[in-house]
Amino acid sequence: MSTSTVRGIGREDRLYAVGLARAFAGAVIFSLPLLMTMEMWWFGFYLDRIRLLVFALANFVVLVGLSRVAGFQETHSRLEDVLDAFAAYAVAVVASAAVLLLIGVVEFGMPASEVTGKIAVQAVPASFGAMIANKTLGQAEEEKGTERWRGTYRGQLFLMLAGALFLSFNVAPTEEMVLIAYRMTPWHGVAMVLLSILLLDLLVYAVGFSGQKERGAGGFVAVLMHYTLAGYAIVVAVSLFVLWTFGRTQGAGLPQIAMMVAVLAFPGSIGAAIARLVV
Amino acid sequence: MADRKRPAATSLLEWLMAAVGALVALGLLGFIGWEAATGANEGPSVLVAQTERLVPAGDGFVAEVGVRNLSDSTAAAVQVEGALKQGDVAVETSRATIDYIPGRGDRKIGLLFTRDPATFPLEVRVTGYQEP
Repeated sequence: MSTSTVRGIGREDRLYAVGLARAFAGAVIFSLPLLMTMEMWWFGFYLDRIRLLVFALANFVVLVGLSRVAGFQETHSRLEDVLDAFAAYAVAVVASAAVLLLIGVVEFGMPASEVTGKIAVQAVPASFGAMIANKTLGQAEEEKGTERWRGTYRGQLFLMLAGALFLSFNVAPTEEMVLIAYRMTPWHGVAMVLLSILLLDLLVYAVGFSGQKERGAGGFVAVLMHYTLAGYAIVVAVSLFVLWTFGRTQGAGLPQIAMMVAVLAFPGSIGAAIARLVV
Repeated sequence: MADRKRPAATSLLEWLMAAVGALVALGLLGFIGWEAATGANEGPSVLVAQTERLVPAGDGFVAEVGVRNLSDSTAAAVQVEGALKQGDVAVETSRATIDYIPGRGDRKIGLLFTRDPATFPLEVRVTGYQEP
């Protein structure tokens, strides 16, 4: 921090390069399970292109937010957050393409549509991993500005959204999601929803996600309303969005969709609750 | 910002990576957007099967068949049937199913026969598929 401004640029460059290397590692570590999931390859060529586009754009918005709460390097302005979102995307595309090529899922001579689709789908979790790499891999030196935003209610809600996306995306692509929803009775569904809310509440409380030392101040009902139920609403919205993106809602009846949301919201809730640890 | 000792410089490398990222993002999303705008993934799949090679294998023969998707729409569970014909009568039929054939893509399968496809003309065709 106290080096002279003359040498400032070189130092910033070096720091940035380290952050970038961590970003590559984060991209591969976080997306490897999905890079080796065949449903993810299939989405690459059969996913509706409009949904894929919406998904990629939504991902970009989340990346900018992530850069603000836990970027792969320190950022000082909104512009830098946008710059880093692009950089994380570049890292994600290169890392995804390299691994897909390595495991023979992408080959020369494949139709352009198939190759771009496969990379675009994988770039979503990979860019996520790239962005949070510094938090998960580096020695996290918290910035004041970051902490401030993380502490606000909006920051907390965003963290829950990111956490829900983080965990639900890992299971959402597989066909088991649909299969589990088929096998469950409505009673299973009710139990799952209640358990998800309970876990979300307990983890928020136990891990201190709400940023308060104890439930104290607002009281039980206030925390339940402000964090747990608000959080669960976000988790449900994220689940529905992910299911829609992957075409799981297409041709499915409302009861079936509700059941799938209940199933996906289970890992989503846990992700939202522990978001502060991973993001 | 006020409590910082100096305004931090945005490193040159950061601008460079952002430029690369913007280029990659624009290229990739531009292509997908173009596909979305032209409705490339809609409409029925057009699938063509063609025998590529006949190879003796074990007690019988394998006909290597290439199936091409001439449309932009991906086809799932593509069923391919091959029949050895004697006149109009099929003396032996074999079937295989392909999980997915992406738009403009191709896949290879093997159809197994006990009789020699060299002596009976082999007819291969795609009998059906599923929309993914």
